[in-house]
Amino acid sequence: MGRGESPEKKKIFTKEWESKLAAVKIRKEDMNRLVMNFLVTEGYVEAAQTFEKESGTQPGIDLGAITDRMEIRKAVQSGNVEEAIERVNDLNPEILEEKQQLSFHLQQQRLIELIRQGKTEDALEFAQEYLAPRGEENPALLEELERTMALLAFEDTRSSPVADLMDISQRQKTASELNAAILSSQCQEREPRLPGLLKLLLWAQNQLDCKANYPRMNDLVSGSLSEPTSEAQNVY
Amino acid sequence: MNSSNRSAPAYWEKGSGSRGNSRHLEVSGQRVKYIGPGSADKDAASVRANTYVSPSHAIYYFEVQIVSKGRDGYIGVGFCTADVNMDRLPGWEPQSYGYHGDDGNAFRSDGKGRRYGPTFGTGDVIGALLNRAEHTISYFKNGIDLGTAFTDVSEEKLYPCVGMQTHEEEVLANFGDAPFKADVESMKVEAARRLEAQISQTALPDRGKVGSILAELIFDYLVHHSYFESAAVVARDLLDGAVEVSPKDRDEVRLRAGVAEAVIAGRIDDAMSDAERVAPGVLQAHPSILFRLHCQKFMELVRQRDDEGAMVFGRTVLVKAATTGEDQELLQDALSLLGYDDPASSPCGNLLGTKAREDLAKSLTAAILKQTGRREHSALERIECQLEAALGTLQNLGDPRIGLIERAGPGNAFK
Repeated sequence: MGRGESPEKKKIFTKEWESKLAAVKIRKEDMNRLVMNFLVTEGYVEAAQTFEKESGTQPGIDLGAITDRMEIRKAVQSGNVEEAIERVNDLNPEILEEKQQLSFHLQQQRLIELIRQGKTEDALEFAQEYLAPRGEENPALLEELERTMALLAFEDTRSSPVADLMDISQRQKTASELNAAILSSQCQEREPRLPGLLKLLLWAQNQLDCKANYPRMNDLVSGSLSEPTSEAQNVY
Repeated sequence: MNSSNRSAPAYWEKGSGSRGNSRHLEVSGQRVKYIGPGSADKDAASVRANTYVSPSHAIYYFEVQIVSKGRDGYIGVGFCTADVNMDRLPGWEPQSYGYHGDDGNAFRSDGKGRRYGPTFGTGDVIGALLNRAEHTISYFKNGIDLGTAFTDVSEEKLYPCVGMQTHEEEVLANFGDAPFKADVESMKVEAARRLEAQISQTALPDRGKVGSILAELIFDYLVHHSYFESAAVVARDLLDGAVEVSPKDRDEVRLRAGVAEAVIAGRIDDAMSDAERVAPGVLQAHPSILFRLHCQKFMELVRQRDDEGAMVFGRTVLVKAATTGEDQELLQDALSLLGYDDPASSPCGNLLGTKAREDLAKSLTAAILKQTGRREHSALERIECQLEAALGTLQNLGDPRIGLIERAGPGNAFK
């Protein structure tokens, strides 16, 4: 049992919890700002513009100034990693020089795109020339390198154990990392607030699990609540 | 910060927990002086503050100025519980913590202590910091942080305490009435920053897919609030076209918004027929809302000063429709409006106001959502509610860390 934990957990039943939820005052303007913050920070200019027009929420920064960032994100998300690298270097060559890990992830993404296009020979050559030396330099990246190289061993990468690398979300992950690096180089808020909000919720629920049984939110996407049980569930 | 709380420690409590040696101390407010024989350990005497530090207080700090180190400077500063024998120096007993001036050692439940900081004497100001968020005690000498002295400090009720043992030793405490030597605000900021770092380590589910979880939440929010153009762009740019706003969803949201608008505009018949169109059976399933709608229609007639029409409607529809006690009460209030020349300024005039219409529109919207198997709030808003409820509950259960989390609206944590 943890510190400060009472042996008897407080039981909070659904009805009581729901009245707590109902008492929370949420202002729509605040929620709109949260959404706008996400769109702006992640560089989704068109979405931000449309949302500004539809909801009247101010983006807080000049949307024109994030066009470069948007173009770079678009390039990664559509699989044109080389174009993205060129554009970042045009913007500020120090970004990729300083961030070894990011630079590795971009090359990794490039390899993934080559494999996606079925250019196995090019992929192999590229991996040997650009990726392998970096993995040797940095043991932390070695494991990721090995996982990526494993893609080459499967005829059908979709059903391989490393299929997640081929996923669209992998592109998004790389694009977000690059986007954050650009923001940070421009001294802007790097992280949108939304992920922090979700982390705070998961943290708060984990803390509360030690002290109470209550309707827990285990599925963030649907936002539905579990029935309080005698055993608190630690899903994450 | 300490002085703003009426139940916070404010002065030394004479004779607290003593088995006889309290006579060796001259205690007056925040001042303590040793006046006993002071020849051996058995002559030690401690005193604690009038009350304990609130367990939900994340960062508690007090200072003691050494007015005189007396003969040997056997002065201890720290925290202890109410059960501790006070005829001992702080830290010699279980549930007692002390930093001693003669040797600079830190004592916890034993008479030897361990090497900790510098010695201290006349003129020095010793600060003691109880960090509930991280379960530590640390000390400051003349405003300089000496580092953590004790970890895993978990006693619920800890009192500031000071003890001494040789002639002419004298101290003066500052429980927050005067400015401190150390910067307490920045300690709080630092503690909040460490907590923030800890929270940011929390892993979000399925790391690779986090991007799409966030995008899905945003898409759901935009559709829920009928920002359809934005939703379409988000679906295209963030979700790779994996979702779309279906024309059916769009119609449903529009109709729902239309129902609410009709209520607010006083077009009750339109509202009722539209509500049935978007959510068949909704009025029958919610008789109290149906009755309120009828009343609202009556109210609109009153507002238009169509007293005759209102009377007829009241007699033929309203009186028959009222079933529950709640209905009857509302019915009486509504009918009473007819008795006044200026109904709007009558005791039940609020029934004619915009607030009444807005409340009804809200209830009807919620009923429609329920009837069509939809939720009242978007997932994003439910997350926000859950977060507030969880933080509030933790705070009520006395978790001191919650006070360090600054929140000024959704997503503004730590910003």
